[in-house]
Amino acid sequence: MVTHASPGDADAALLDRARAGDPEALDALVARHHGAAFRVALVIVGDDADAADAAQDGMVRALKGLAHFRGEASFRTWLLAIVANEAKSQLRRSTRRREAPLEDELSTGGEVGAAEALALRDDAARVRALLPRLPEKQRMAVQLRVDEGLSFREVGEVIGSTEGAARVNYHHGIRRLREWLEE
Amino acid sequence: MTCQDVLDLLPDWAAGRLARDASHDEESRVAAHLSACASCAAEAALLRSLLATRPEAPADLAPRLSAALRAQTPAPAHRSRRLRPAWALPAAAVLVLAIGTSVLRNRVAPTDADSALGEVAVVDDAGVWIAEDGMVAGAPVLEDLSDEALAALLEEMGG
Repeated sequence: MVTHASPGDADAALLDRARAGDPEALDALVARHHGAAFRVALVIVGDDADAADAAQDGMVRALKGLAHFRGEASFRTWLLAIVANEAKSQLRRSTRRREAPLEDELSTGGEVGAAEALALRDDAARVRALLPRLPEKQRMAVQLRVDEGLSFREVGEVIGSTEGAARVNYHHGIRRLREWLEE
Repeated sequence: MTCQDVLDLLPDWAAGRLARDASHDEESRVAAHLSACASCAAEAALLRSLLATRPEAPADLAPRLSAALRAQTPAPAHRSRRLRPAWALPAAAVLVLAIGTSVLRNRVAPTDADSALGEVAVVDDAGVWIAEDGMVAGAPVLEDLSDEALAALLEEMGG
């Protein structure tokens, strides 16, 4: 089994400095994790602007509350779990969220916009475009395992499940994507 | 190496993480499996497609985050507490216990002790004590009283 490269050592040094009030350490933590935070938020809220807002709010909350980080999980999974919760809260609050899921749009081919149809002809873009059709835990498991390289144990820590459930969610999600691609 | 073993590892293999993080032996075993298994190879292609379209954060997100962090003053994790004389808490505990008994005994006809207590803490209908500097469910926690509240309590109860 692969031993995932852990950014924990670099994070630990930065966390010590950040707790001591070093703003450059905070900037470094932002630089290391804002991309993952954005993608985790995006897979939940489905909108770039909302995802950026949720990533920002979640990261600020986490980095201002470093005293609450006890090191029981890695800093990355702790941070991403906070961002995911923020994104879920924002999704509930948002008035901008899409009422019609992508699944409905795909099922009515005539209503798909020209740009979207063009994108769907590209296989790679099509796979990514299908991701929002998955149930939340499955798409989160796929996103965290593939995009961020988290282990199944870490995926479980972020989505609030066991390692085994995270593995099942991931494999079910991938299997569904394959089925949709073959339709 | 079974298909399930390979499928568990495929995200790392497709992203090149397996070659970096694990022994090259494991990476080559996955590659060998993929060359002989069309189903796993198809899943590898799907994962490569996902990785090729991995979204990037907006360019202004990191600067926005840094600005937001700098704009906020750090919140202390724990409320700072000033030192009190060692006898203060035990003495106050005895007094509160005595007064609490008195309050209960005289609930029908409020006494001066009730009035004195009211300056420091209020017991609402839900039995929640609301002190000058905090709300404590169920019963007063002396450590959560400010020095001023504690001093007033001692003075009033002692008098």
